[in-house]
Amino acid sequence: MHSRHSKLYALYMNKTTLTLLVLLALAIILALVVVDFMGDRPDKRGENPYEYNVDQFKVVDPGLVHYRETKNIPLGDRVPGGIDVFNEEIFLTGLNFVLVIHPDGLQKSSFLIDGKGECIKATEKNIIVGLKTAVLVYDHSGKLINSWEVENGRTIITSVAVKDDMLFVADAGNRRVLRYNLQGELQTEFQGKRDGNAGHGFIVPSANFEVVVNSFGELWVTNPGEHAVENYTDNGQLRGYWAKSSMEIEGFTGCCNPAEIAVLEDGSFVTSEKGLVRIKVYDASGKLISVVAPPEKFNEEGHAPEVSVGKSGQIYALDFDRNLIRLFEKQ
Amino acid sequence: MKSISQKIVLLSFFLLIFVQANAQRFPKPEFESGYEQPSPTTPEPRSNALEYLDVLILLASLSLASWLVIKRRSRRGVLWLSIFTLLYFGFYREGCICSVGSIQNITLALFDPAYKVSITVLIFFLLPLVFALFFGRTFCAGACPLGAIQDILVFRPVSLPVWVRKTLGFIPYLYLGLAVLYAATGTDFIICRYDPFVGFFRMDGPYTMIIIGIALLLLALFFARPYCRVFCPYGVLLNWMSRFSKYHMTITPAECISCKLCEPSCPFDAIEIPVSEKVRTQKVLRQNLKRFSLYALLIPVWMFIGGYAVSSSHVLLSKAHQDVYLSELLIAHPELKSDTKNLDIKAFLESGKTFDELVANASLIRAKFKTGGWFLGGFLGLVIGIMIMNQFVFRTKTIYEPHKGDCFSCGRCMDYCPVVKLK
Repeated sequence: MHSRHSKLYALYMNKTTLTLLVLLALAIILALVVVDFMGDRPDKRGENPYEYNVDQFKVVDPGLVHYRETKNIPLGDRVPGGIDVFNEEIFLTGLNFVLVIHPDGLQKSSFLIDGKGECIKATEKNIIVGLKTAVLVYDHSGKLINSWEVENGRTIITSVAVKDDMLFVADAGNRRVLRYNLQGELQTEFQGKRDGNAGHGFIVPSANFEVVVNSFGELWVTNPGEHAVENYTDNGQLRGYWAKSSMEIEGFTGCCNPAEIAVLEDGSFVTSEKGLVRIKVYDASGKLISVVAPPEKFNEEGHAPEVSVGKSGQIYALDFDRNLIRLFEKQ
Repeated sequence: MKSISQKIVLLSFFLLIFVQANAQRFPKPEFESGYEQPSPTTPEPRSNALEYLDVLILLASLSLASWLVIKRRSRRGVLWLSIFTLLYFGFYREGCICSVGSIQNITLALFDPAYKVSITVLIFFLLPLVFALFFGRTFCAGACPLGAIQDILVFRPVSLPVWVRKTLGFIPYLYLGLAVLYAATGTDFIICRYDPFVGFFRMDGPYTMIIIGIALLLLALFFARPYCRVFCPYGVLLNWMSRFSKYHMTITPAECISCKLCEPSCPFDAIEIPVSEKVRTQKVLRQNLKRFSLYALLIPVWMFIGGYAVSSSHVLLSKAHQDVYLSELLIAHPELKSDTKNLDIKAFLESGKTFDELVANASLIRAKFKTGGWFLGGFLGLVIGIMIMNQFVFRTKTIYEPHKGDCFSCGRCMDYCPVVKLK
């Protein structure tokens, strides 16, 4: 033991050895600094530590996907804005046009409009087109019956829905739903607030704000900032809602989802999301029933396709990123 | 009793209002992914009032350190002050704001009119230098957290041969020169990036820097204050200032009796010992004068060689600049322009600049490096020239004194002196 200590002491006292060790340590430290400095270059950097990798959420259990894509209709150089399906005909609006397309892809009729149609709703008698700040009511021959401006500097109309003589207009810019009659007279408006000042109203961080009326005459409005779909009376009283915040397939994520919705005959919802683009079907209580199209079907970080539903439950998606109308049918 | 109940009700009411007022108006969506946002690498900015508090604490630390070393002659006091500094400027302020790094802010402000430094940064840069000009490097002794973290670990310091110390002593000049060049060209703040102890202060940092920090602290056990002696660029400026200090600490409180007791006391080899008379024969003096004159005349040559060498390396040096490297990369590999996975390329594409603008800017920066290379190389040549010339300078030394430039004013040597000052 004594001998071992003596050796250590001798080593310690050996100045040359210690000097060399100190120099070696300093050389290693300098080398580390230089290697780090030279390695920190645009093509040599490692993974981005701030990146949130969502790849795992793009993978969807195939057992959940109950639909398959059966057809698509290219839109050429047209700039689309909104889609609706009524009586098995596709009504499409966009920059300066309204098209009526047969499900086989053939154009049935068309007429010009002044501006870009952002949303469209067809009924037995009318075709209602929402521009950014105006509502246009046409008959099926393309004759303009009525039109009016929605007066507010911040208005961005994103959706229209019809129930009997009532026309509901979603204004994303002001986070409100307006109710008109078909003559264009404003009946009421609401911001989704519950019981006066209590609770939040609609939270709409981007121009994604939808209003739909289902086959039972119920008015449903998306609240994208809350990841919710909310049911209101015609006068704007909240009756119920469901919400799902999750990165998983069961819920919605990001700032503003569901970005688009449509309703099936049985009252269930077709939802469409942006960012992590996916189309799903939920029942009326908000339970996920099936996946129509997983993220792999769409462009990465793409826009939310606008969705509409045919009579037999087929789902039409207006894919803005690929400029297509895509048809999904149950397998 | 009624009064107490009223107070409780009132308090509850205000608490409820407070909670309501502080509820988030726009609740964040609750994700279920388990994702944790990485914390930022630099501390949050402080309010002006708190920044001025930092300045006051620095001023107080410097004043106290100077008083403890020069008047009170208390090593223990300096030690406790350095521990406070380590805790406050190190762990509490997370190593930022820092006089060492402020060199770069000042440089960039001088070369880039769009960049402004706050008065706090300016004071943090100047104040230690002003104190060094009067009292020596008391900043290193008691007000620098980087020095403090190494100083408390000094265990069995070894003394390195003079030639090794002199050679290693060139590195801080090189580091300072590069730091100034990179800051002046807007390339990088390398002093901050390679601060080896900031990772400990922030309890977070790149693993390379943590390894380097640990290595330096282990080294500090046997080679005292390795960062201060071999790397610290601010130490160069303090060294220059301290050489002119009028009230620098002394080993002895009165007259040195050359007892040699203090000789091994300095872990930094900063004590100058008396020069033996026999070394300074007339013949040796004449030879040294000749050599001194020769090497003094050679200094411009060294400066030219240094300037030419560094300026010629401007292509290599400028690659550290993001725009230069990126433009070279995209010229060599045009296919990468569409690589949106690469964050740097993505950031460039989203900046709205054209490729031609990028290349033009890169050329401009490279030209700056070419010019700056002459200054950096000239400076390094001057340092080398003076270092060689100084080998032939003999100053009369009859007593044991701290080297004013190298001494950290830690006060260890004072405890070894047996001389007592008579009152």
